[in-house]
Amino acid sequence: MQTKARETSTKFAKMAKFVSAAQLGLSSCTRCLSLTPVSEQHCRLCGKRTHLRNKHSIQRTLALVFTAMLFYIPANIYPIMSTTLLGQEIPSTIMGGVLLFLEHESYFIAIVIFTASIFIPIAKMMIILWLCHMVRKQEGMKIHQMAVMYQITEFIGKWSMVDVFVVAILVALVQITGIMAIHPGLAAQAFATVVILTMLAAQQFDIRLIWDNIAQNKDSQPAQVDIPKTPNTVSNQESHLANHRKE
Amino acid sequence: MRDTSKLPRNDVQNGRKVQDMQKNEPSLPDLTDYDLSRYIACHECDLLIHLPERLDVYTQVCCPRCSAKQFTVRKSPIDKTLAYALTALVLLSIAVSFPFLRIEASGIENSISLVQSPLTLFNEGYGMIATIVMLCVIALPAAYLLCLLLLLIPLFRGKSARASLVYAKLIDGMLPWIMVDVFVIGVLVALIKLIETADIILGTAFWAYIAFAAVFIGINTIVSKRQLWFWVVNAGKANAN
Ligand SMILES: [Zn+2]
Ligand SMILES: [Zn+2]
Repeated sequence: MQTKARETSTKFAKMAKFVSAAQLGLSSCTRCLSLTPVSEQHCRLCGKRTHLRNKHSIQRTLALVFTAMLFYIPANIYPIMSTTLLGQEIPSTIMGGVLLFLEHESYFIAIVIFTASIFIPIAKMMIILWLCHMVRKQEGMKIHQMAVMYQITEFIGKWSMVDVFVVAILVALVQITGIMAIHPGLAAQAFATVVILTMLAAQQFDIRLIWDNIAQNKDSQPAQVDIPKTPNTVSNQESHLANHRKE
Repeated sequence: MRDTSKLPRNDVQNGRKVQDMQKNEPSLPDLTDYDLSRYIACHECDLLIHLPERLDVYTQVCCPRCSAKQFTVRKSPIDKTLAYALTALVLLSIAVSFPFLRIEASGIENSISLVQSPLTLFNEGYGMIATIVMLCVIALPAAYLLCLLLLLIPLFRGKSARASLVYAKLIDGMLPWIMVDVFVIGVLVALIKLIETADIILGTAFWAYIAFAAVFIGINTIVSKRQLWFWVVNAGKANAN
């Protein structure tokens, strides 16, 4: 078995610089990351249906992002919470909260809320739309830039939930009978929906699609991609195994 | 020569380009009959990477094309994860059972526990947010830790673990929705918001939850997706013996 694999690997080196699993008809499972020939229908390890790439990845991602954008409108129009102070009710929207803290010169919280509730959700939806657009257009793709952008959206995904948790804590804690009480607003639900939908959208988007495209266009646009010279074979294995002696 | 027509049509919906590539390079070898356990595909760019027979401890494997981190070879990850998971469970149970925060204004005070937050939201008619808080902050992290313990204890004792696949599927499904670290930041922002209007007393549960979040992040760095499923493969081998 081993010699067979070795022979195969040397063959790879002669065939192409980089061979993706999909080019060999191998499905890399999105759940367990193990390899199964796509003809086998179900993942060898976890039993998930095998696909070379996520099914209808772009369509599903776009549908989720557009729904998220719809929910983002009520999230900004309606109050996220209302404070009852000595019998007087003061509703506050997301943007209103930011402005209030700016007025009080609490710049740090203003920045935290602005980043988590306004900048991150908008940036995330824009980046996902841009990625979908680029993959569909299939030309002039800046692969590394797109990969970094995708990693950013995946990482920041859940952090927009901060504002929902702030409301959750305030509502429970600030219940001082007769003096001060905080109640949640409709926007909190809309906003939580936006966060969940954008997280699902990022999960549906298949980042491997952007790399398929360079593999296909490698003759036409080689300058755009910074391809390292080492092929992914057994003979050069050491070069891509960076040894980090940490302890 | 690879016969691409064998591939079922519905499997390559988005992989149309992939199929074209296969036609252009017909001499690629067919891997179906080969031992795939020494190969991994990069999760970012799908590059096929062959792993050497032996990997030293602390070796970090990165993708040669997109340089995405694949995995790190760790020294006794099972022992460490078990220790962390037990610590985290103890801290979480402290965080749930002791007072979380107390507020005082004009002589009137209100003390809440961690579970109070979703309960109040539920009573206010905001069931959806109550569910999100309950799941992302308390229930899913607890379930995750339990599944991790159930998966790892048999491996630790060298016994067969038949249900490991079920636990791994659960763990993998829960992970994206666990927001322990986000909640800590949310609590801090809420406290800063209140600090001028009222006196806040931090309870035992508050400190326990912060410690819990720190340990949980530690577990997350060890239990990567690949590490998790590597354990499942090992459990399968133990069953076969
Ligand atoms: Zn699988
Ligand atoms: Zn890669």
